[in-house]
Amino acid sequence: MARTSKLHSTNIGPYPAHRIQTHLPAASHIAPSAECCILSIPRSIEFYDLPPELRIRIFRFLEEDELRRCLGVCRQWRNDASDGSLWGVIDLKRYTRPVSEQYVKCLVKRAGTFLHTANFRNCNPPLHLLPSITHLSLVGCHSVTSYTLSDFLSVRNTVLQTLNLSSLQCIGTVHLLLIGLNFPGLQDLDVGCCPGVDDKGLVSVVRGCKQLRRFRSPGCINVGDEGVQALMGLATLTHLNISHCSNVTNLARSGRSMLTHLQLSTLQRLALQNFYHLPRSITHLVLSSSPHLTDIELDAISRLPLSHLDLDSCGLISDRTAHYLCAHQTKDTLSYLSLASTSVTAAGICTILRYCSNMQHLDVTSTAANDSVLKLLGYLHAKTGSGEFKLRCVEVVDCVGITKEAVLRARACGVVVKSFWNGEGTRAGSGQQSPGERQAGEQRRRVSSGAISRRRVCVIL
Amino acid sequence: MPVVLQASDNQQFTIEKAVAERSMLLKNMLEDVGEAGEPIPLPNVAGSILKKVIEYCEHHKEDPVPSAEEDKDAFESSRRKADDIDEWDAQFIKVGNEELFEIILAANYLDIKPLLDLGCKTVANMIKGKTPEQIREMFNIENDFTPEEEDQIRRENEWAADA
Repeated sequence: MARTSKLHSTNIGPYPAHRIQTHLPAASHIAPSAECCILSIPRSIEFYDLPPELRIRIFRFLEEDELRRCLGVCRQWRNDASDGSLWGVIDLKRYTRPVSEQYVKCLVKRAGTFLHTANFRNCNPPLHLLPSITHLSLVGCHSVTSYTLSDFLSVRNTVLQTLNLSSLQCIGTVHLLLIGLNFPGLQDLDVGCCPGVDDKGLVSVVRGCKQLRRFRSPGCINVGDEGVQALMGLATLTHLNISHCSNVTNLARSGRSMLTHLQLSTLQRLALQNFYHLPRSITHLVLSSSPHLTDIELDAISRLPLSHLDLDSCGLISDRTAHYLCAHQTKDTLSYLSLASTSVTAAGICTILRYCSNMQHLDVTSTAANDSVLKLLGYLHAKTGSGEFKLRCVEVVDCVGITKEAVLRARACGVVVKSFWNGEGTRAGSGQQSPGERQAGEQRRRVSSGAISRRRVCVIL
Repeated sequence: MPVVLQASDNQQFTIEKAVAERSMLLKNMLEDVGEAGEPIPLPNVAGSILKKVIEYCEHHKEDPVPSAEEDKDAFESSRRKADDIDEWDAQFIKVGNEELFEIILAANYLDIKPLLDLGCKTVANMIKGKTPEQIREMFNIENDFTPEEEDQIRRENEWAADA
């Protein structure tokens, strides 16, 4: 089945010998009258007159389900459309319901050695048929057992670059040892929410996968300092997500780090001194839900060239952080900042809006933001004009300090305010309120028992 | 220096070198033989089709030539998009099936990748959204499956349809 795409006819002319070749075995395709005319009167050109590599070239522009229909047209089409090179990508993410096992097997067999990318979401993948895959995702493949996975990981594969095993419950130390042993080309590994992932396994991965660039293990409670230190020492690593790995207390200091993306959300036991020694290469930093993080650490962090900083639910963060962010490196580099559910006040938010010149998206949900923030937005919007103004979105959801009047005034200045709702049934929103939004609103109203009216505002500039 | 092309029916076309160079075949030929001024025979392309191909090359003579590397990348990504045809091209390729296939063959022979892709995309778009029966009708194809094969196809579609 994979043969045809290997046939590369050397640019022979439009009516070369292949016409005779292709028609002999498939003579039934042509009308009898046409068959005898080939050599005498010019016959009309049909789809079959295209050489096989052109027919496949056409099929390359079709989606999977269209290609599947082509398989049912006739024998010749079935043969062409079965060409392995057309089936190199299997993406079961597109299906909302689990795909039958036979069909998955059929897809894998059809692709043969051409299969390079597969997402087997929620099905039982024929792992024994994937010896040379490049990108593999087994997210939601809960029928994969420890045994079948070991079998797959025991076969050496030097071309595997991406492996996503997140939330597979069967993963243990032995699987990570096998990955370190047999996948030296691995660049991207996701073992998020796999409870069996531990330090011993991680050390083995780091030892074997010298090209690892991205590693994610959020929610792996058995990952500790030893594993993280091994990862931090890996010179190729650019992305690291160890959020919710609640046993981590210390990151290693590494001078040669290439890390650009670091996610350390909800690391309750991480010692504060770590924040003074973060690698200088970091541009994306997620520190949400770090209850001990204070403004003092942010003084150090704001000297990094960050473009993305998430401080959501860091309760000790106050206006001093806003001042640091506007005083150091981050002043010119930050384009995304979340201060949602922190202790910043309207004054701090206004400082950021004024001085962080590159800011595009600011989230100050559930803070003390008040009407002065909207007033400033209206002023900045009117002053700079929407063309050169970088700010695109400010989220001011659930900020009790914002009144309906301020929203109306901001609108008058040309600021787009999306879905304003003040909890008392008087919605001044533009656009439809989704059922989820409404439900959340009603819930909130019950909680506040009418005493406080909460406002949902998302400002788009 | 103009280039003269001679079609299979001896029709001759005189075109600018820049237009001829849209075809990698002609470009290489011109580099090899230099500017001899002799007509270049194209025994595999009929005059009416060559005229059409030249019309395409004239319109696209200013386009940047895609690098070989880029082209390879685009080709090897196994699924490609068929809906990015610009307006002029869409009008240009509004022809009968037979002419369309002839243009594809000529573009392949002359090695004009963008025209080849335009032709292939057009055929792909004709196939889209049609049932196997409609496809057979459109391209004059006879259903030659045995009952067993029909059965297998039906089963396969059922497996896929549970999805």
